[in-house]
Amino acid sequence: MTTETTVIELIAREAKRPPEEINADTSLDAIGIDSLKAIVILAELEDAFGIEVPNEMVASIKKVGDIVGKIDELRLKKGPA
Amino acid sequence: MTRRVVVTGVGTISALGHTTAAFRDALAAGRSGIGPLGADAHGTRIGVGAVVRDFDPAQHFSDDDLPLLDRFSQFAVVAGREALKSAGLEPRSEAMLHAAAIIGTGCGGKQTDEETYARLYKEQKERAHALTIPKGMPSAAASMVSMHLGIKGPVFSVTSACASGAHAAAQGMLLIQSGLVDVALVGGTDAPFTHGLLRAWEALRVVSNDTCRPFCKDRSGMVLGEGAGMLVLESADHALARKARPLAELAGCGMSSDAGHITRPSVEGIARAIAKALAHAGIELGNVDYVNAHGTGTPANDPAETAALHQVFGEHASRLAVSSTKSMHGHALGASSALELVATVLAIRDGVIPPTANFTEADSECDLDYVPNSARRRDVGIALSNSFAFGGLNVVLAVRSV
Repeated sequence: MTTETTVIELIAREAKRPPEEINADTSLDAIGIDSLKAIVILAELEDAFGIEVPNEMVASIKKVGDIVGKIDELRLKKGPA
Repeated sequence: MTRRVVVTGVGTISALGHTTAAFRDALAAGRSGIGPLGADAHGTRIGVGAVVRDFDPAQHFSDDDLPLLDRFSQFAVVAGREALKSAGLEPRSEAMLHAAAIIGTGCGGKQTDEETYARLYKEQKERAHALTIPKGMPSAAASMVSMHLGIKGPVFSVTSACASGAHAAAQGMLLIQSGLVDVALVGGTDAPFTHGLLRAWEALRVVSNDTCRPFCKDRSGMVLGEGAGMLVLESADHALARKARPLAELAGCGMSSDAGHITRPSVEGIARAIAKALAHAGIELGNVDYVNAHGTGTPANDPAETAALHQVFGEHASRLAVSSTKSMHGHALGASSALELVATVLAIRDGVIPPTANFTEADSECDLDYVPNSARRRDVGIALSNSFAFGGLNVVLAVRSV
């Protein structure tokens, strides 16, 4: 499963929307993911990928693609599992 | 001239049911909500409790709201909604824009905190649930009440163990008397049936394994309960202007502190709170008909409370009807004093004094009329609601018929 599929799946669940309606360009605001919900999603992603998302990254996340980008970046930094 | 404060709405959720109609019916029937804890005992030696049964949060809250609502917040909002409705007030209405909400809690969001602690200490995980803070903080219930009912005036939480709900009511009354607000939703909420909290109560050795028998010779301690009690307080002028029918007047409050022992009550401290409530309300002690006692059923409380009533009321003490409704709704900690204030208001409204249930034989040091086992039909002009918390924090509220 790619990072994007996992991220979209988690976001879809939190936003209570079908995953097909969500893509990298979807704005989190538009689907009702506020900062608190975003934090819940990030916690799950940290668990799923075994990474740590630094606090300063949180503010720059606006779109689904932003999360995917950050996760990939962090996974790369961490090296192969 | 201080402003008069009336009660225009009440709401409850407790082991006696999810509505105040169910609460009133159980009190009038002398039916206790105390029962075996079963799985809720979490393996402790605490065998009985007054649990809110058949409560399905999904019936009351959306999927979106639930992740932020600890059980103690759920109870507060459910009872708060009922209180507003019974007062004929709409959530988010103009009156709510300036209204206060003051919510007492003895424990706060223990369920949330303990789930996180179990994850960290027991499962050795390194991450707390992301919403632990906003869901578990002791003021979460007050915030959730304000958010769900659109109450936008002064909103905060007060905590004084078993007197929390009564202190909240006193605070709301004073805010109205001072002219700062016209309407205040006040009450208390607690949900203490969590593993850690039960272990802590078990260790303190004050919880009965039988049932709650206040003032009885064979009483064996308190029985924990849970739930919430909420009341809409209003300036008499504001209630009159919108043609709301007051259920009773909250006529005065007396507050004192023992400054003595952390768990042992003081007759002198209790007596001072009772005397202050009578003075604040301008009540002749011979006019008091009913006292809703703190009546925990512990060895220490019941004789001390009885002695304090003798000290303040003298000869009139023997003419008082005194009952402990904790024998039915259990000791719901921060919610208890609020549930008891509701019971007191209902006694005045309906002219029915709730009994002390589970009554066997009076203790030799407890020689008042405790209304054993059966409710009594009697007009109640003036009643007191007693609450005495661990730490020696005492509140007595005086309620008058209107």
